[in-house]
Amino acid sequence: MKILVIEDDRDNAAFVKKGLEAHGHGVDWEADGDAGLDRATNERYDAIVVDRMLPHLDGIGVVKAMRDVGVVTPVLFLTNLSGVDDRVEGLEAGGDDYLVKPFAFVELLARLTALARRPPLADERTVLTVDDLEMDLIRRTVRRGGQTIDLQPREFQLLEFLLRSEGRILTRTMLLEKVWDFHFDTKTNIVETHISRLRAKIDRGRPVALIQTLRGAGYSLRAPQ
Amino acid sequence: MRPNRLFRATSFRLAALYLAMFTLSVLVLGAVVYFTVGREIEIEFDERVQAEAHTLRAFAKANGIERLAEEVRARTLEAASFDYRLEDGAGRFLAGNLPSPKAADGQIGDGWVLIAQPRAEIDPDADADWERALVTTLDGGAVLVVGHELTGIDEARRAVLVAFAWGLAATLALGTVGGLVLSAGFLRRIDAMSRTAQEIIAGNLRQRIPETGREDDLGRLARTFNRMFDRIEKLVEANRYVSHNIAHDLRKPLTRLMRRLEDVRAQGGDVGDYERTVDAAIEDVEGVLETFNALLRIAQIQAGARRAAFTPLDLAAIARDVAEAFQPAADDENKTLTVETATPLPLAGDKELLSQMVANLVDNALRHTPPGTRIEVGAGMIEGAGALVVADTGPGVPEAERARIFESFYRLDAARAPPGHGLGLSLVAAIAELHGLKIVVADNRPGLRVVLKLPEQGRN
Repeated sequence: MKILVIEDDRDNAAFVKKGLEAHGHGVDWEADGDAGLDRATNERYDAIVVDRMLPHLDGIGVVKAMRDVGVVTPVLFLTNLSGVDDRVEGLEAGGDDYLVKPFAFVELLARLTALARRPPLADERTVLTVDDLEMDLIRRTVRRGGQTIDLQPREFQLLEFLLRSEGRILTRTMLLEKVWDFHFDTKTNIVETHISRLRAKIDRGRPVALIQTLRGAGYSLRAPQ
Repeated sequence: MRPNRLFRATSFRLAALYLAMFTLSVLVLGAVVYFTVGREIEIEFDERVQAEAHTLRAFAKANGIERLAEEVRARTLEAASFDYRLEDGAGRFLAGNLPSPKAADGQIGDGWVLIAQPRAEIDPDADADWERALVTTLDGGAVLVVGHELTGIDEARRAVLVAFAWGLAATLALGTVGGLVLSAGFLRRIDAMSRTAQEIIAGNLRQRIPETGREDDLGRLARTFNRMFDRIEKLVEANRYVSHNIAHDLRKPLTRLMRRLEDVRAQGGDVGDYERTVDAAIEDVEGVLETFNALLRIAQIQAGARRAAFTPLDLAAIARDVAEAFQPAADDENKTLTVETATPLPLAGDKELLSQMVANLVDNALRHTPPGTRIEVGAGMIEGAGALVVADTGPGVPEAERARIFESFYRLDAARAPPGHGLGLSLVAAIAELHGLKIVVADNRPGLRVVLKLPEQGRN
């Protein structure tokens, strides 16, 4: 991926740049809003990381201006504030996702990957398939190896999200946000308990496990190589 | 109290202003009385003069001018208060003591004239003494002049002036003294407030303005200030408590982190040891950050800015969704989580915050109870108001501690409590307060019962 990072905090920018480059992505870095906007409108990127607070033009301003001239590149906002208002404001300005500093690098990478490879807006698939697992979105049925599996509504939603993000890492917070609409963490590991339920239903007793746990990162659903 | 201050006091200035206005009214009243009294006496005298002239005229008609002259002479000598002059038709003096009222052209017309007093000839200084006299032309051309010495008018006027002067003096004296006494009393009470505030500024937060129990505006002001001081004291105390606990809570994981890093550095080891240490270190730092984030979030909620984005929603539905998310976790821990949310709980609020509030309560119930516990999340009506209940059958909280569990960093029996930043319930309290929800903590016999009462209709 080719990623633009607009961030005035030198340490954080270096941390992001180094991490992304280590994962084989190309990174351009700008430290202020005007220069960032310039690059964002003149070059093509797969995703843009923008800090909310920037000298000259702030993050919201950069994204608004970018969207005004028709740049549709997915944007991930970074912020020091964990306020809900800030997230809403960021999304309204045209941002696609939101991450509160300080963050774990895996979280940033997972979110950027999800943004850059977002399925087209009109994903018209009605059946999602990975290996021998098949989800019919119209009939709301799930089958594995031809055998019907009964899922609770929330389990269905969780599996649907995993299927749509096949092969990608989904962090705990991403799952909490997308499946439960919880923008906060809980002491009780809600995601883990649901994943283990789901796992028991679709993977238990089968030679191939589709749901993977990536320690310290999150979960992923992928077909065996 | 310095006199200078006394005179500058608002109350004194007000009293002085009233005094000035009152003095002015007394002066105006005095002037009115002064002139009215003079006028009334004059009118009274005029009427008496008219009556006398009328009587004499009738006498002349009946008895002729000669007998009138005798009568006038007699009356003049009687030294009554009237003065007379009688002239015949040719202007010759017949009787009386008044000088001739003849005008410069020698003509005399009927009516009132001012005439020199007869006694002016005796008293040389009294040349300016005039009296009012009525000129009447009798039948046959004779002229009768009847005057009346205006004694009494000036005395009456003087008496009025003296009375008003005393009144004025008394007004000024009483007004000034009264103003000073009033202001002194006022200033004393203001000074008491000021002193209390000064002491509070100096750090003695327990000081209060002495309350007199009087129901006047100053009394009410003092009570309001005292309530404000109560609140300030509570906030400062809470702040102190929280800062103390932040320091304590952050030192623990940071110290542990340092030990870990020092140990692995000192003892060396293989890559696996280093990796384990790094993982544990990351976990420690995550815990610290979590505490910080929770604090920031609480502060942000307490600032109350989010109210603007409130939308109408159903707290019961939110509670149902949240409780459902915890179901598998409860099953895993061998606890029963029942959800009874048929009663809608309409509320203007923030969905995300309310979800977090319910999640923290359920989280709390799950984390502080043994396996086998029953946890209930229910919506219902309590005393006519909608309420959300989160109750468990766990060990509960001793009555004395119940009020404190929603304070920041409060942990029941800190040594035994599961790890956590102790901010979950204070976040609940902050969110509840933002939404006008009243938290009631009760005994669930056994266990803990937390009730969130919806604000009454029409409020919020």
